[in-house]
Amino acid sequence: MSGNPFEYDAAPNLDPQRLLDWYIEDGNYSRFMRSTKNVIVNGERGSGKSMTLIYHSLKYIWQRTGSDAQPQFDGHLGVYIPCNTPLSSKEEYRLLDAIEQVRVSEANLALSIVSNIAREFSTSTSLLSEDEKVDLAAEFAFLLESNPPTASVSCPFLYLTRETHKKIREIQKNLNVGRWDGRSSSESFSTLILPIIQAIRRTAPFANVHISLLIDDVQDLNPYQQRLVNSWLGFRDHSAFSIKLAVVGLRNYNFETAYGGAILEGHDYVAVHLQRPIQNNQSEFGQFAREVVRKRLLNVGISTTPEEFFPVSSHFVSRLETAKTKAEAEALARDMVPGTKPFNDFVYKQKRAYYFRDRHAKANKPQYTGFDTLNHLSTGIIRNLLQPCYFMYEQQMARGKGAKPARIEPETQNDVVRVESDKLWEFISQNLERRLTNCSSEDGQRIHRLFIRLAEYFRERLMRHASEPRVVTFIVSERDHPKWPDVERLLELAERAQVLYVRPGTAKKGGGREDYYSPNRMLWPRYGLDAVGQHGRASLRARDLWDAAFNNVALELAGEDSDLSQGSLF
Amino acid sequence: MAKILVLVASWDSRFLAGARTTIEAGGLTAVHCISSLRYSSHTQGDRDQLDQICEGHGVEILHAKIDFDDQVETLSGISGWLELSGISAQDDVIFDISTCPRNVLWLMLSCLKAKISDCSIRYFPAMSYDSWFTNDEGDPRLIFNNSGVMYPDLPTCLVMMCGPEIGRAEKMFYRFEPRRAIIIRDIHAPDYGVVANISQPMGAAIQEVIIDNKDISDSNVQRVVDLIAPLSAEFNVVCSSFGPKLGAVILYKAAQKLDEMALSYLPSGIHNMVPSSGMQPPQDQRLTL
Repeated sequence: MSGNPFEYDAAPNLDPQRLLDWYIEDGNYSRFMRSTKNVIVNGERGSGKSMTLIYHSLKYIWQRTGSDAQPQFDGHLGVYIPCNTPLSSKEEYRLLDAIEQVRVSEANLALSIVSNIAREFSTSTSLLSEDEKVDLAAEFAFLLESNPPTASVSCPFLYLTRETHKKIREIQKNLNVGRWDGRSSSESFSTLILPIIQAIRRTAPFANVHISLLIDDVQDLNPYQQRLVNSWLGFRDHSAFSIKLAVVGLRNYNFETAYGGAILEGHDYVAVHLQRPIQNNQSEFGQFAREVVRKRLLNVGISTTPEEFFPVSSHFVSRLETAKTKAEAEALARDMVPGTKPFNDFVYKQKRAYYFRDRHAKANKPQYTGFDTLNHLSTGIIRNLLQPCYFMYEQQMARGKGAKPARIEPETQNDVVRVESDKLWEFISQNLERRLTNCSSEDGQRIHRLFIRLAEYFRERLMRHASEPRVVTFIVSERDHPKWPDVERLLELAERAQVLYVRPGTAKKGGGREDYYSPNRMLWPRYGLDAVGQHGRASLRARDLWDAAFNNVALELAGEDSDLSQGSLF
Repeated sequence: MAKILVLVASWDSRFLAGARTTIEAGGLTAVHCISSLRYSSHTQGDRDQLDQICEGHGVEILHAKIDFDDQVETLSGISGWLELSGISAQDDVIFDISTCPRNVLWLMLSCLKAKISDCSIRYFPAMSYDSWFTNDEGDPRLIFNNSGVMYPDLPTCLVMMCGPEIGRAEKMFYRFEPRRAIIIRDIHAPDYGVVANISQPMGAAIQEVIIDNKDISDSNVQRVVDLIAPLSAEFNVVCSSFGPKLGAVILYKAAQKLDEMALSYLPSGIHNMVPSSGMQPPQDQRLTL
């Protein structure tokens, strides 16, 4: 990896020390991850799910402690179990009858988990006494119904890996030639995983340690395996172990158990949402992002604050001040009293709108600078913050002839943001069907048209809307329209492509929940929109969205529901 | 001993033209025509013409319509056809793969193995190809009976025989997020599947190798085997073929030697109804199943 502090890569690919250098201990999430509770971690790709799990795994506890010292478990350690493996793509189980499909699915899942337990603990063998090594190996042999090791066991976990791999290979080879005898397979949660955890906890170094099974990308498991995992979440005794799942898109996750019931938030698990909807500097994400950047800068010897490293353009500050003066004048003209809440609210909402509106036809486009703006452009996904920062750093270094930058000049920030915005639009216009499965070229074109019309709508709103000009999030009304399923499908594709983020929110009408749709804010610089946005949602009709996507019809301000959904100021 | 032509119906003109060429060459006892249930109406006309050609040459014809979309149904359909086909170890089977989808090709070779020890692979290259073949691809699938052995704690290595459509290779990257990838490019077309055009999410180490992707001889297959074999100890190896169909046969042969590697297929939602034009003379090679 280069010396750029904003390198980004999938957590499992990172060098352990690099992951530790970059990880931010978030007080809230660490508390849950180290608890005995079951947790479901929800977040889009790039939101830090895998890193959150991996950081709490045994391997990384060792890494934090250092090789010469006894690792400090603090009564808790984790076993990282990735599910995004080709094993999850094998479908031979579908050739079996229904009962055997469940049995072989559980066998594969149980062996996968045991294989990862073995991998995780293999580096901890030095903590065990010789008797403990022998006892563990014997226990593993008994549980796997394999031949006990004949020689003295230097590492019972390597033995466990070897025997588990043998079982995995045997099952798959048999299935590949149509031979499967469920009577000879007994691998399950209760016959394998639980006894192995209990055996490990009987050893002195791990006595009474709580073990979390950190299962990543659960959505990649087959339907039977997902239901089995859900069933395990219902296990009441959390003294020995708990389960932490990471899911992309909890909204669409199937909560059914293998026994026909369903798991319930609060009762069976705690949900942690890594994508935060609000990105200002007082928000959770704002503070988290600040810590991420601050730590990354410190790692390369830069001690300035993120705000100093990514300064706002002085030109923008000056123009915003002018816009604020104009907003104050307008508020006075509307008989609002200075210092009162209506006056302050009006100025707060309108000053940025005036900046973006009142640009001379020959003026340059709006400037996108400052750490706060970068936070908003990320739409609450940490990787979306790191990516432009990476390119800004590279460009600033190039401009400084290779010298380490003391800060990223506003001009550099703005240039990179414009390029990133263009790249994202190019991705939508040309590459969606290349990247996404089950997305035709026609789907790609429709999504492109829809997003252009959305951008034009938000721009029109910025220019003309009286009370909520800077809204860049929408909800969909009239979902009973027959065209809604077509629109919904396009929105799902856009969400998978991460050009759109969806989160549940409170419905204005009649309470309940509804989906809030937030296009990736990096799209907006091309259209001169305010990436900071504003609380509130535009209400767009399903049929109008369909017309925009399929017939390239503009979304009219007059076409939305008259009851504009308004959020609170903060 | 019967001489049997097995082929898969298609809207591609090589289906009927190739069948006509083989039938008119003489010696055939029967033609077995496998067709897709979903695209039945698209191939009806050419299948009717095939019936007439067979009748005119005194060749028996057997049709089998199979669901090519659901792998369980595909395997069941192929197995059912094979049971009814009467094909036995003494028969001389010519398998025209020119218009055969790769998932069907692999499953058919696996099933034929139970009946015969070898067959003739016939491939009619087109005179020219359109710029695209498929669109709206679905999630990659590992092929039944050839899905290898996948370990839960090993990283993934993709091995892909790439054609001009980079999109399919990209989807493999996004699904499997490999730590490493080997792109096998066509020795005859140096710009085929240029790696630089592949965007991928996590910066896998990509290696380009040039191997003839139309030569199914043992020596050429051994080159592929030698490339893949050392990877199995460290990686789950998943292989795909996106170039000429003969490349799929090469990977099939390699999979018979390396039973831990997986064959993977990307199902297509939309097909170009005029993917090629013209037809060159057939390339025939003997395949030991």
